[in-house]
Amino acid sequence: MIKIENLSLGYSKNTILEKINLTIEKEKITIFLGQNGSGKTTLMSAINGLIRPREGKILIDNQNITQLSRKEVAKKIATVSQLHQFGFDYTAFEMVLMGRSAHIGYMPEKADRDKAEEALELIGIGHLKEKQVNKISGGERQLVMIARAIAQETGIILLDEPTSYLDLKNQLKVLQLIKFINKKKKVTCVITLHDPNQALLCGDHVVMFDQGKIQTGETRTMITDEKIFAVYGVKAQVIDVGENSFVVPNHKFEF
Amino acid sequence: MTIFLYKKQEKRRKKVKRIVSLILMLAMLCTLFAGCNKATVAGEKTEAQKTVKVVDSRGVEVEVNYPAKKIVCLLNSGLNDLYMLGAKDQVIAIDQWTYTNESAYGFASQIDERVKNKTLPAIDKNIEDIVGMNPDVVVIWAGQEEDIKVLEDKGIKVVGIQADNFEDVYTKLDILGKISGKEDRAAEIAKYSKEQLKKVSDKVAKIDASKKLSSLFVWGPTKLDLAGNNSTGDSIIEMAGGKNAADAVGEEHFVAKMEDVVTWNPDSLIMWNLKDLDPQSYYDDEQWANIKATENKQVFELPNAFYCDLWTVKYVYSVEFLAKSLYPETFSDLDIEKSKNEMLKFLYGVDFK
Amino acid sequence: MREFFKKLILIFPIVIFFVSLGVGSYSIPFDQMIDIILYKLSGYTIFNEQLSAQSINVLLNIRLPRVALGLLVGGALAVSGTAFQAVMRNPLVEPYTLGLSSGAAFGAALAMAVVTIPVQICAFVFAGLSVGISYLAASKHGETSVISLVLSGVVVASVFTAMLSILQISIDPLQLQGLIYWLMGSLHTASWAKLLAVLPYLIVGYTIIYFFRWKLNILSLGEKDAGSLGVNPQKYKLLFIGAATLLASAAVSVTGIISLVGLMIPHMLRMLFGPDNTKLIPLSFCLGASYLAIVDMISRNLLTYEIPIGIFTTFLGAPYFIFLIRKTREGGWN
Repeated sequence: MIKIENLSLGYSKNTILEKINLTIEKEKITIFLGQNGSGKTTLMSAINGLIRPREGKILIDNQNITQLSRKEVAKKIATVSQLHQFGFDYTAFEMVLMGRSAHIGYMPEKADRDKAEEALELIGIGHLKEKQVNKISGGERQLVMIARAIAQETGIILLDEPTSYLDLKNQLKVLQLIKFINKKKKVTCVITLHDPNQALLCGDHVVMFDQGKIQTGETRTMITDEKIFAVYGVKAQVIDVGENSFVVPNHKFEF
Repeated sequence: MTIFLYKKQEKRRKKVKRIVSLILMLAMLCTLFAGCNKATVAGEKTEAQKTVKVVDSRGVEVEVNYPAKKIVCLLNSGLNDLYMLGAKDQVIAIDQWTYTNESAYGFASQIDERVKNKTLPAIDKNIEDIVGMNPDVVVIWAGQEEDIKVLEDKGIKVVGIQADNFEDVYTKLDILGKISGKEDRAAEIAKYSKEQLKKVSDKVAKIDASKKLSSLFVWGPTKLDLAGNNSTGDSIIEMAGGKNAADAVGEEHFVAKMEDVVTWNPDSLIMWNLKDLDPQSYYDDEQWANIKATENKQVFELPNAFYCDLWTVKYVYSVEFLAKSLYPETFSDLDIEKSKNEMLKFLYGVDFK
Repeated sequence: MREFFKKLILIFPIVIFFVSLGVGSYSIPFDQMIDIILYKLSGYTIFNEQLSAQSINVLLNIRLPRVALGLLVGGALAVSGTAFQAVMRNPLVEPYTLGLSSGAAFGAALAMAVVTIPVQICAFVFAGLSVGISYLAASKHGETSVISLVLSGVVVASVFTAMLSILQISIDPLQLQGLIYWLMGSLHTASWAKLLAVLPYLIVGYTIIYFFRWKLNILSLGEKDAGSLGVNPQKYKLLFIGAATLLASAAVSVTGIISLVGLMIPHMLRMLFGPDNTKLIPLSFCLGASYLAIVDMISRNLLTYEIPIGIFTTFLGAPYFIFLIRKTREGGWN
């Protein structure tokens, strides 16, 4: 469980989030929604201990994140960052093996290699093992990064815009995979997303970021016509079709 | 070595000189603006000035007032020649090195009161200072081409000197004798030196060819900086009855390979007077341990550079020193200390302390 | 095939070691060489009953320390280059392009000429200073672009070269020539004393990089990734930069500036075996060591006098550097 108490975040003079309180429930998928620059990624970095809070604290399993070493944090939290190229041409296997870093002293051992391999197999990309991460498709690369997070064996995985730069098929594949590992491995997932439709597809809870403040609740109760308008300034309708719900923007282009 | 160093220092000075010449040009412009006065020249030539023509080391024929009364000498070995010739008072400016090198200064100040009192000006950074002195001739290393050009452009007579071997040493003495009007003394010195040298070579000639010892001449600063074929170091060894073990190498100064030194296995080593090395440095070095020269403790260091100066006739003393070191029995009657003092007395007329 | 190459490179230094020992202007036949080594180890010989003291001296006091120093220095430069490239995430950095070599050379010269502290320590201090300045000058918001790091390295190198010139002018000109020769990078002054003087520093540097080499992979992903994976980037960066600086500055302190070894070797290996530093570090050592020993073997036997080895490595490395710049540029100037 992640507990955020009275937290303020910011860079130099800009305050990004002010005195927020939030509880992220265990083994659930929590989605961060909000405009660009609303503080989603900043909060994520703070949860990961990479940014020091101005005030307040972040508790992971009742331990203050700022008092843990990088290694201790990495045993609790894994991160899948936004899709990017790497400077060096590591293979998928080498990349996933690096997820074991927090568990490794000097050199990876056989158990670590096995775990890396398992992670690749679990999400069905065993065939990519020897491929260079920079040379496979964006969708495949994102799967490798998720495999790396799985190999890290943490209770929490943070995913920063995991569907960006991907085509529709791969977006759904990634979301489904997140849902799958959430269920199978009982991992708490925190995801920042741009598309509320994707939140509706896979989220249990939603945190809405709006001008330094947040609101939180169950996905369907949070994604409503009014809230979409309040947060994004876009008129939209949320339509329920069977079990699924969809956000349909009702936007007219004006010239 | 001194030539070498001198040239290096000279190069560094050139930059500074350019800046100074710029400033001078500005200064000249200023005088123009200050207004022109009609010049009157005092002491206009009343009688025809006698001149002498010499061919310097550059192969250039230079016509110089005879005898030159105002000589600027920018090489220490040239200054020594002029001292030997007895033309001390004709020198009006010298090189900076003579002042900064402790040993050179020590000896020069025993010969020349003006050096001792530091009243004889030294030309250091600014070669154009010479112009104001209005000298009859400037004696300078032939390699300092830029400086020579600057001076000649100003209408100053320049004699360029090069001394790569002992032939050149006599040529230099000869040229300086001619311009200073001391030709007879120059001939006398040359005769004396050649006689001294003949005494050595006569004895050396009697040494059986198979008994000739091999040697290496060390220039320094490292143990492996040696003299190859066609170098003064090589000549000294030959004249002292030895054989340069490195004569297969055509370089005047080269860094030898240690393995080659082992292959050559020289009977002796002769070192230029070096600051950081002495024979003991060779004896202490395990890499040199199996070489005859170190095994038999046959490493010799030339004494003070003033006595052995390879760029003046004093090189004869180096030859004597090495000959005596190599063949102590053959040269048992040669008292090296006495010979040195006689030589210095003859050349300079001074008893050095 | 790859595995075969890997094994080949790993045993390469041993082969080169014996070949180098056998080659030199003083001829020592192979059987004598074996006998001398056996004699030294056991007191017995196989082929010859008598050995000349001279061949023993040449082999053990002249050739052996030189070959050993060549191998160690070559390895040090290549390993240091590999580590710098991973830590700074930049394929163009190595001791020479970072300005480290010039800083170390200045430090070493300063210690030789003026200060009475050990040469290696003084070289290390100034090498660290030059790397620090290059790196900080090129960093902006924690990011360092590939080209600007090389540029700041050039500037730092020229500053230290200028300071070295001042030093050269102000010390006794008689030492000047020796210093110039040493600066160009040479192994001809190798001796047991030099080898022993530099060995402790090399061992410390090698050990650190060898044991933590897997962490280089993590660091090469960038500060953010490394942090999320549980590796404190600042701490380990400092550790690796320190160790790599120690290796390179120790090398410079005995052999002068030998450029671009740390650039060529790691890059060639990365093309063959990928970027995994667990493999790269030992391979870099072996190939770098072999490379320098081969170059020295050539420079020892080419002419009748010594040629600074740095001249060769620069001639061989420069085209490679240009090739790498072009390649990097295709990927953008980031």
